[in-house]
Amino acid sequence: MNESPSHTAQMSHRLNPKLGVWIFLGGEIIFFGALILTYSLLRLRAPLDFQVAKTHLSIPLIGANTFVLILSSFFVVKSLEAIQDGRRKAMRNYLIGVMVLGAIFIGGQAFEWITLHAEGIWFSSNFGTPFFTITGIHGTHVLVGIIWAALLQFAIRRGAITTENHLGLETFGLYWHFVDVVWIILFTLFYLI
Amino acid sequence: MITEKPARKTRSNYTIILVLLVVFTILEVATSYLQTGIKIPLLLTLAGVKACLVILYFMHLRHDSRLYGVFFLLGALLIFPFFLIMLLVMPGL
Repeated sequence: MNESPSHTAQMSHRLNPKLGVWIFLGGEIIFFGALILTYSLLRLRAPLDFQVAKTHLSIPLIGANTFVLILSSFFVVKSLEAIQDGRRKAMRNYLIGVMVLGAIFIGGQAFEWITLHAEGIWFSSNFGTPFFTITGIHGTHVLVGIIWAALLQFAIRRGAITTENHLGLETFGLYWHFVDVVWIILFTLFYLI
Repeated sequence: MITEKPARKTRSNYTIILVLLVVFTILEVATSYLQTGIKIPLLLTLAGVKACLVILYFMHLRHDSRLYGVFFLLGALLIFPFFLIMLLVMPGL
C-alpha cells in the first residue's frame, strides 16, 4: 500500500469533514445568490411595489432580531473556546444559549410574518413572493441549526465532544455562522435599502 | 495541503468582533434613514464588512487552511457573473 506523506495528505483531504462543510457552504452561496438575484430582478422591475411594502416592515424589530443572531454566533465561538479549555459545562451552556437565541430569532420572524399577513402582504404579491420565500428558507436553515445543536447536546452527553476531538462542534459552528452571514446580507437588502 | 495553526494560538478576541458587529449594525440602521445617493453603497459596504468579520474571525478562515477559502469563494465566483449580467441587461440601470 502507498503510505507516502503526499498520499497521507491526500487522504486527510478526503476524510476531512471540515473541508466537506466548506464545500457545502460554497454551494449554499450559489443557492442564496440565485435567490437574491431573483429578488433583485423583481425589485428592479417593480420598484414602487417594494417601496410601498417596505413601509410595513419594522426595522427596530428586525434590527433586534439581527442582534439576536449575531449574539448567537458569538455564543458558538465561546462554546468552542470553552471546550478547547476543557470547560465542558460552559460549552453546554453556551450551546443551549445558541438554541434559545435561534428560537427567539424564529419567533421574531414568525411575528413579522403574522403582522404582514394581517396587513395584506402575503406570498402572492410582487414583494411577498421573494420576501417570504427567501426569509422562509433562511428561517428553515436556522431551524436546522437548532436541531443540529440539540443533537450535539446528546453527543456531548455521550462524551463524543471532547477537548481533543470537537470537530462536530466546529462544523456546526461553520454552518451557524454562515446562516448569520446570509442574514447580514438579507437584513441589508430587504429592510435597509 | 491543509495546514491549520493550533487553535490556542489563533484565537481572536471574539468580544471585540461582537462589539464591532453590533456597532456596524447600529450604523447600518442609522444610514438607512439617510436620503442621499451614498446610502446604498454605504449600506452594502457595511454589510460586506460585517460578513467578512464573521467569515474571517468567527469562522476562523483567517487562520485556517486557504483551501477552505478557495472552495467557499468558488461559490461566490460562480454566481457573480449573473449579477453582472443583470446589471447590464436591466433597463434604467
